[in-house]
Amino acid sequence: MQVKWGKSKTWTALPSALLVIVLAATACGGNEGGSNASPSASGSPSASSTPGESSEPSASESAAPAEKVKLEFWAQKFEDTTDAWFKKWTDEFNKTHDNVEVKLTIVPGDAWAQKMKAAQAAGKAPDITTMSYGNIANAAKLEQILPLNDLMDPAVFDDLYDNVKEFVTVGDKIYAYPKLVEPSAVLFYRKDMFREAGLDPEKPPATWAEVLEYGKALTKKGVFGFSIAQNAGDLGWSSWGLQYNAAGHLAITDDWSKADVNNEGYKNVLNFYQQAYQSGIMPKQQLAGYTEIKPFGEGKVAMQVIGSWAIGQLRNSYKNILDQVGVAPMASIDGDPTKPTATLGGWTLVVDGKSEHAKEAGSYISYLLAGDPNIMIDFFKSSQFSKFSARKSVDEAMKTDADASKDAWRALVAEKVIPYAKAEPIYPWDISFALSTAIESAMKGTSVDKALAKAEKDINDYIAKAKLAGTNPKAQ
Amino acid sequence: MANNHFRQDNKAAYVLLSPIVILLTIFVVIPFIYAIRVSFYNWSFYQESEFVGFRNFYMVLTDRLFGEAVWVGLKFALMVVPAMLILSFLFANVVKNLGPKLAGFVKTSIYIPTIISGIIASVIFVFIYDYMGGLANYLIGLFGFEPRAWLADVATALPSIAAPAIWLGFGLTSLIMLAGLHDIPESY
Repeated sequence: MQVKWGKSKTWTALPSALLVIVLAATACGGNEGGSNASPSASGSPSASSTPGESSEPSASESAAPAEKVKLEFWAQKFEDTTDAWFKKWTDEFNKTHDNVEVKLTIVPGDAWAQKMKAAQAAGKAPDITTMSYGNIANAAKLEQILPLNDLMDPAVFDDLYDNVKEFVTVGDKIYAYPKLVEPSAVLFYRKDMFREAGLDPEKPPATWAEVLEYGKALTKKGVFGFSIAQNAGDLGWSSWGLQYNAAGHLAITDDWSKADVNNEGYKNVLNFYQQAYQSGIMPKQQLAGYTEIKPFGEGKVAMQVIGSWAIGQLRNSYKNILDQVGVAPMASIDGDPTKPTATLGGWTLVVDGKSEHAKEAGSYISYLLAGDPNIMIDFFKSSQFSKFSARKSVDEAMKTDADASKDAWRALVAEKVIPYAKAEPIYPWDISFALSTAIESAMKGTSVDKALAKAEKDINDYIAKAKLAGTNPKAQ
Repeated sequence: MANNHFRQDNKAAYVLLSPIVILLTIFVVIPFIYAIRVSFYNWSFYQESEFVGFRNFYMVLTDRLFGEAVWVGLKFALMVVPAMLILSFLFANVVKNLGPKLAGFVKTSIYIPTIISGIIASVIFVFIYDYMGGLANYLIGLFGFEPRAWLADVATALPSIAAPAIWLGFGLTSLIMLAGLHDIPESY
């Protein structure tokens, strides 16, 4: 046996050499295709694109004039209407600007962190990305984003509302340009179900006690009276509004040195969530995430607390119940309508800290967000006026727009929710998550005091480990 | 003479091994060493990476949640493994006493869950455990019980996840038990 193998040495060496070459070639080709195509493949999070796709951008690069600057723009996936708006106006920008070409990629939210990390590691981070207000201060501190003061015309910053300008300012520089603001909590309720339960459809609950009471009256077979966030992930950010409402402050002191949750205000917050869950007015397992109006739209809940974007979801997907829907600010703990019940979240565009074409990136942001008000009005229209402008000039222009001025829901949110809404916190998510874990365990039966004590310990431990004391960028 | 052949075989052996060794080096060994190196830094892509020694390890090991996660993993293993072994042993005993045709059919069908992708199995079980429309709540509803939040309730969450894990491994373990029952002599 061995003699035979020994004799056919060439026959073993030749195919094995071929095998090695073939494997090496597929490995190299697959790698290159994967890493080249992954940032430029629109919407596909996996890097399994064929080498054919990777040759496309290089072909167009060699065909275009040498000075054409190429920018990568990654937008997180929002509603379909938002994605379409991004595509439309990016194409318009590319048509009207000969020296710059922007390549848009829509990235799903759950793949965002991984994709960004991979791109940053490869040195191929996109020039422009979407970023929410809460992340700006930290990103600026870590030099992940560039200040925009030198990249855009200073006049566009004067057009912003003062409170929104605060959201994007760190120190004396502005690091992001706002696209929209949206309050995190608004109360949606079914007027027909109110009538059936003997409640006045024009008088939504104004205090937390009334919410619980109405919820009981509205709960029946197949319908839950009330729906709000129920898992720690959703509670982490959606409960900020209620924390401000009951306690007047958030989970840590302003100098970020210790937890501030062991007080009456926070006990009230946890009690509210606990009673809502334990009384049976909420589904024991959530029917959908906090950001989905689906359970309400399908008639499975009578009242739902959700952000203002639900207006767009309702108008686009649940037209048949629209005339029975009532919208109101989320109830205040004592009924005081001037207390905050929501935080003002929203999205901005930022320029990457290592971008090689910062000026051109700035010009794209100027065009899209800070330029012709009609571009932004187009956005607000397609979202069914469920998003709100951060610019005074756009709001002025919308006053003359027929659809915008007639919209009662828009007026309600703009007049009754946004003026009292507070900014999102900028301290690390771990702290919010420690508190929201406490809320969730209180909902599931742990005593409020015990849950709060655990949260306080966890938050203080985190502050000590992460050496957070005194590092608040807004208190420097 | 024997030495000659061994040497010739060695060359062919190395050539055939080389592609997988190269691939493993590129994709496993080098990233592993690089990851160990990075784990000693406060790594940043935008600023200077700061060398912090064992601090990252310290942060993870002293994190209360890390300890809890490890403990929950152990609890999960304690639920799945004994239950699976006992159930598949009992089932193998039943199958051993069946007639050949029926035994063949049963052996094939019990093995099918093993080849279903874990992701698909988990999606199916999420549907089964669904609060308002799921099969589990429908079945206990027939007996007059209130619908249960299988995955959201603290008491039932871990057992609910253990169930599909047991179900997936059940087929393979049963067949192994059956092989043992048939082949291992009574004297043992």
